[in-house]
Amino acid sequence: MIEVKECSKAFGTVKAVNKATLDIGVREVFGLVGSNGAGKSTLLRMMAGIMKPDEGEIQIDGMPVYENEEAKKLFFYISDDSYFPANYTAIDLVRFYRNFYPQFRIQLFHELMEQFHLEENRRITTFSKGMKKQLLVIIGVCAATKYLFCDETFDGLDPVMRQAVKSLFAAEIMNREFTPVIASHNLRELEDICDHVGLLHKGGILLSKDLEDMKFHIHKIQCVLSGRQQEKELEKELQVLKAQHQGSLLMITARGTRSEIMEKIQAKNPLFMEVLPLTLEEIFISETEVAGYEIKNLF
Amino acid sequence: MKSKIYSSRYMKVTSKGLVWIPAFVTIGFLLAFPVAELIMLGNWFGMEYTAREINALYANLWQNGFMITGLAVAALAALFNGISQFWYLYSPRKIDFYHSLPVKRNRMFWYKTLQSLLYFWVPYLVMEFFAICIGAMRGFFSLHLMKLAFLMMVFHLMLYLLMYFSVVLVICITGHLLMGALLLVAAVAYGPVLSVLLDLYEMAFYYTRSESPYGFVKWLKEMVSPFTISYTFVKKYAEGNYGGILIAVILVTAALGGLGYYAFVHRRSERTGMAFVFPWIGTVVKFLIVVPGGLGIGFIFYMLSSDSSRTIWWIFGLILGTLFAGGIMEIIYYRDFRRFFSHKIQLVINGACVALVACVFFFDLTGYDEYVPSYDKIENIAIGSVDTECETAYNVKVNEDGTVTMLDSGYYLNGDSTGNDLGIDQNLFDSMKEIAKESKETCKEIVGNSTALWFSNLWDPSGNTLGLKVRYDLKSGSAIYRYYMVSLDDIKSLWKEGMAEGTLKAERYSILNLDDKYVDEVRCDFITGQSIFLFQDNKAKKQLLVDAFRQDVEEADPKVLTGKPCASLTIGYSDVPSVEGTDDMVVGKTGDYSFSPCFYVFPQFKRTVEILKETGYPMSMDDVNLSSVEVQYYMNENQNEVSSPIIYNKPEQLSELKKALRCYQMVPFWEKRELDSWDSLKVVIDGVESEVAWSIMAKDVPEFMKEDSQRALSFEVLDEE
Repeated sequence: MIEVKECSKAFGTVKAVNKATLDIGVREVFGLVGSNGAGKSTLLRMMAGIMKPDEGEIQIDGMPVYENEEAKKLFFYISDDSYFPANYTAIDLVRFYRNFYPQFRIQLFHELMEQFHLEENRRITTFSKGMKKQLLVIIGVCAATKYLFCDETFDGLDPVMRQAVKSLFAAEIMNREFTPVIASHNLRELEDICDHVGLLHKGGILLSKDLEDMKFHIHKIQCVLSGRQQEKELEKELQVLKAQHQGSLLMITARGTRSEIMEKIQAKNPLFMEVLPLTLEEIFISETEVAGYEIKNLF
Repeated sequence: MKSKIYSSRYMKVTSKGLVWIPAFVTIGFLLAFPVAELIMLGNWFGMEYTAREINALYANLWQNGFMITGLAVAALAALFNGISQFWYLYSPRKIDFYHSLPVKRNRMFWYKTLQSLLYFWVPYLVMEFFAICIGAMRGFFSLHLMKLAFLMMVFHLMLYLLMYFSVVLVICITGHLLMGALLLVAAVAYGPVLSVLLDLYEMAFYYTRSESPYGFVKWLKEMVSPFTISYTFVKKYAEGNYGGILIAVILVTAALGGLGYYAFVHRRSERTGMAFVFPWIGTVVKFLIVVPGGLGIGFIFYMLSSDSSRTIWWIFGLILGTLFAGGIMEIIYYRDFRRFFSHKIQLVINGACVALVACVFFFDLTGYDEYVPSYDKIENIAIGSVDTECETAYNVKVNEDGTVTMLDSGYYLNGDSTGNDLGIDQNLFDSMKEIAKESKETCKEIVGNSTALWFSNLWDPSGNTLGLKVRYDLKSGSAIYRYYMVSLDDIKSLWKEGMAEGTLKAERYSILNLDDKYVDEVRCDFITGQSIFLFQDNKAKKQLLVDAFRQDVEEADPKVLTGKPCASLTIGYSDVPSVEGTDDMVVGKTGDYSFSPCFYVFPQFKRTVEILKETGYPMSMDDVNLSSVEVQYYMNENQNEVSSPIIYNKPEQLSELKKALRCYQMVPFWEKRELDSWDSLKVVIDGVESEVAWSIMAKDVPEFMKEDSQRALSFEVLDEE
C-alpha cells in the first residue's frame, strides 16, 4: 500500500503539491488525474523518490521512499519524457535494469516484445514515441515490481495498444500483487483502465474514489413523464444532480443505485424511460460540482 | 538485497557509449609516455651524451618530464570523466531515469567515481608498463626507476582525483550547463586571475612593492586552482621538495571529494535548471566574482587614462564595473536580461566591498609601504644586488672534503636574482626601519607629477637615490619583499651595518676560503682603468697576493670596506670540485666549478697594496700623470646638441680633476657620479688617451667645470678654449 500523508512540494513560490493525502491500495489500477500543472508529475516523482517532499511523508508498504533502496525496489517508474542512455538497444536497457530488479522476468520480456512487435536489438533512439512507451511498459511489467508508476504513459498509445496494455495489466493483477498508478490529464484515456481515481487540483487531492463505486451511485436517465407536476415530484424524491429538458424528454443525473432510481421513476408511470451510461468525465462533473468546484475550472 | 551496481556486468552495460573515454585516455598516455620516451631517448643518443648523463636524464624524465605530460592527460581525463559521469544532473529527464532507480545516491556516487577511475587507471598502467619496457630494452632499468615509476603513478592518480572531484563538485552544485561551464572556468582561473589583479593593484598603488608576487598573492596564483596546485606539486616533486605540498594536495583532494559527495547526495532534483542547487552558494559566488570584477574593470579605466584624471576614471570604472559584473551575474543566474538590477541589497554590499578594497590600496590603510616586521620576528634581512654594483661575489661553502657547495643567496630564494644576506641586529633593524619610513616620501618626490602607471621599482634619474630590493626572512619561515628608494648615504650606512654584523662580510668574501691551489689567474684593474693579468708565470706570487688580500679583508673594519677603492682584483678559480649539479640539462651531473670573483682593493689593504705596487702601476690618482681632460658639454636640456671640446690641461685644473676623476668601475654603488652635464669625457694620461670610461664624482666637481657647463647651456661660444 502506498500512503501519501499531508505531502507538500513547492518550487520557489509555486506550490506544486499542497498537503496531498492519498492511499493507493493493491491490485487496482489507480488513475491520478488532473489538469496540466495540477501536480500529478510532481506527486509521482515524490512517490518515486526522485524528489523529497518539503512536508509530509510518503510510504510504500510502510517504508519511507526517499533514498530507500528497499522501498524503491517495490516500484518501477516510467516518466512522461523518458530518457534512454545513448546507443542502448532494448536488450541493453533490460541488461541495465536487471542489475536493479533481480526478479526481472526475461522470458516474459522476450514474449511481450514479440507480442508487441518490438525488436530487442534495435537502438531505442530509432523507436517511435509510442514504441518507446510500449517498451517501457513491457520492461516495467517484467521488472516484477509491486507497483508501476506511469506518468502520462498512455499519451501516444493508439487504442489497440492501449487495450493491449490494459489486458497486460489485468493479467498481471490476476497473477500477482500488482498496482499500476497512472497519471494522466485525459479522463477518457483512463476511463477504461482505472479501478480507482484520484483527482488532483492545484496540488491538492480533490477526491479519491473507486470508479465502480462512483458509477454505481450516479446514474443518468432519460424519460418522458405525463405531466409537469410528476416531474417536480420526481425531482424532489431523487437526489438530482442535474435535470434538463430536450422537448418532452427529461434528462436527469441523479445519485442513487440503479434500482432505487428505477423504482421511483416507475412509480410515476413514465411514457418512456432509459438508463444511459455515464462517462468518467460526467461522473467527475457531478462529483466535483458536489464538492463545490466548477468543472470548467478543472479541465 | 542491494542493487548490483559494483558488478562487472553492470560496469559493462554502463560503459556502452563511454568507451571513447578510455580510448582517448589510452591515446593520451601513449603519447605522454612511450612516444615521448622514444623521442627523448633518440635525441639524447643523438647528442652524444655519456651513458652516465643519459641515465641521469632518463631518471629525470620519470621525475619531471612524464609528470608534466601525464598531468596534462590526467587533467583532460578528469574533465571528460567528471562531465560524462555527472552531467546528467543538468537534465530533469535523466534525473528521473537515474534517481528513480533502487540505489542510494551515495553508492551511485562511489560507483561513478570507481568507473571513471578505472577509465583513467587501466590505460595509465598499460602505457606506463610499455614505457618501462621500452626503457628496459634500451638498458634503463633499476629499482630507483621502478620507485620513480610507482611514485609517478600514485601522484598522477592523486592529481587526477583532485581535478576529477573539482569537476564533480562544480557539476553537483550548479543547476545548468552554462553555469557549470562558467563555474568550472572560474574554479580553474579564479586564483591566478585574482593574484594578477592584486599584483597589479599593488604595483599601481604601493610604492614599495617588489617585483614578483609572494605570500598570499603567490598562494592565490599557485594553490587556489585545481590545475595550478597540481602543476605546482609537479614542479616541487621534480625539485625533490614536495612534502608540504603533498599534504596540501591530499587534504584538498579529500575536501573536494567530500564536498562533491555531500553536494551529490543532498542535491535537490527540483533545483535542476536553476543557477545553483544550493542558493547560498550563488550569493557567495556572486560576491567572489563581482568584487574582483568591479576592481578589474576599474583598473582597466585606470590604465586607459594617462593624466591626472586617472583616479577619477578609476572610480568611474569601479562603479561601472561593480554594476556591470553584478548585472551580468544576475543575467547568468536567471537567464533573463530583465534581472539585471535584481538583488539590489547584495549589489550595494558588493559595491561597499569594492570601495573598501579600493580604499585599502588608495590610502594604504594597511600601512603596506612603511611596514617592517617587528625585530623579534626577523631572522635575516637580505638585499638584492644594486644595478650599479661593480663587484662580483659568490656565496660558497667549502666542505671538509674540499668540494664546494654554492649557497643560494639569491634575492628570491630560488636563485633567479642575486643578492646578499645582511643578517640581523638592532642597528641594522633601525637602519631598515628608517629606510622604510623615508622611502615612501622619497618615491613621491621622484614620481612628482609624472603619470607613471607603476610605482614599484622606480628609478631616480638624478642618481641621488637607488632602488633597493629587500627581503625580510621571518623566523616563521615566510618572507616579505619590499623595494625601497634609498639615499646613497643611507645605503652606505646600511652596507656598513651589514659588514659590522658579520653575515654580509662572511658571505661576500666566502670564496676566499677556497684553497689557493685553485687560483688560476689574478687580474687587477688599476685606478687608471688598466686591466692587467698579474704574475702569470709565477703561481706562488699569485697565491701570495690572494693570501695578502684575504688577510687584509679579515682585518678590515666596515669603515674600510665602505671606503674609496684604489683598485679591483679579479681572482680566477678553476677546477673547483662541486657536490651539486652543474648542468641545467643533466640533472644530478656534478662537475667542476669556475669562479671569477671581483673585489675592490682599498688603500688600507696594506699587504695587497704593497704587492700591487711592485707592478709599477699607480695605486692612487696622485701617482697618475694626468696630461689633459677633454669635455664636450650638452648645450640644451634635451641633450641633443653638444659643445665643441673643452680641454683642461692647466696644472691647477688637473690637480682638481685628479680629486674628482674616477675610473668607472672604481665607483662603489654608494657613491654618486655627476651625471648628464657632458656628452663625452676623454682622459689623457702620459699623453695617451685612456680607453676606459671615466666618471666625475658628484661631490668633487671642479668649479670651472660647473661654470663651463652653464656657459654651454646658455650658448656662449666655447671655441676659444
